[in-house]
Amino acid sequence: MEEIFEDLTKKIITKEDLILFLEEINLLEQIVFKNIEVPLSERVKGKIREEFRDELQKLEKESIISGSPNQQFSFFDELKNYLQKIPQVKLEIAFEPSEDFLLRIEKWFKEKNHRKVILDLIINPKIVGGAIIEYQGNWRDFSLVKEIDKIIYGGF
Amino acid sequence: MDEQIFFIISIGFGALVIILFGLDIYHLARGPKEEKSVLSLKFSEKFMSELEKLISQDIKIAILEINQKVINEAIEYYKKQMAIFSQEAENKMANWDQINKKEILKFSNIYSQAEDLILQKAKSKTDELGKGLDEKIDRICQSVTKTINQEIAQTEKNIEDYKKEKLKGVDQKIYQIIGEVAKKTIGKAIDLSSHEQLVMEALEKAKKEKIF
Repeated sequence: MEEIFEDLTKKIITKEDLILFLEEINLLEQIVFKNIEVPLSERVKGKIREEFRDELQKLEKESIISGSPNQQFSFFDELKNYLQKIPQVKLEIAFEPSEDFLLRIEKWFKEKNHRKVILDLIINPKIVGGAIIEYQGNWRDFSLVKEIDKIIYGGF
Repeated sequence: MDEQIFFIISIGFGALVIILFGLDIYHLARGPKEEKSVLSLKFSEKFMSELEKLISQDIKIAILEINQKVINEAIEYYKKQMAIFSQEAENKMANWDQINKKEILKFSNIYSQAEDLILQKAKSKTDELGKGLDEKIDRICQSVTKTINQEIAQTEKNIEDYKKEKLKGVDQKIYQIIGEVAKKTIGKAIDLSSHEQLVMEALEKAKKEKIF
């Protein structure tokens, strides 16, 4: 089941992605008990991202979520729990990152930290460059503004 | 007033003489009728008339003389009395003058002595007060000078502190401006790949510091 969840959440990189995904799951949990004669992937057409709907359709075909509404509900509930357990990294940076750069960061975490993380991004040009990082109660300022202030206000 | 009294008395005296003389004439005129048998002597009416006229004139002259005499005597008496009174008054005035002079002199002496005494006392008191006052003024001056010096020192210190604070504030402002300029300049100067590189370096540092 974890592999399925990993596959479903592989494109969730930022906190925004996570919130959107959780909203979709909440919607699915409501829908699973309505019009049960119609496949779930059909019932949510136009209500969730098409990409996610394709994933659902695939899971239905593989009979992973083809059971009763209760089984479906349990599946989504477990998925939510899985998502909420993914650790978050607060990352304050000075520029708007590209999708590729976010994937690069995610890859870095997987390689160096051996686990998936959700990036809680804050865009703040005032830090000039670098990043301010917060992870599980630890906080470090690796911004350029700090370096500049050190140089300028070093005398004070 | 005295002259009038003498004049009235003289007039009254003259009138009495005339009345008495008239009565005498009247007795004489009736006498011959009663004593016709005793005396044969008889005055003619013309003689009587002339005699009356003569007597009347003499009486008038006598009255005038008496009047004049009385008036003159009264005047003399009055003058004499006036001279005596004047002399006495002068004497008294002289006496009073002397007494007054003596009294004034005496009072003047007392006044002068009193004045001297008061001046002496006043001078003594003034000296005493002056001495005390000088000491007090000295003390006040010293106290005020000390306070002023302290205030000046405190004010100078305050000014110095204020100057330092202001200069520090100005320095901070300058550094702040320099910092802002530097940040903006550097921020604009950094390209996207450099930004990404800096973030990746930050993650590496965090990894080294065992944040992850």
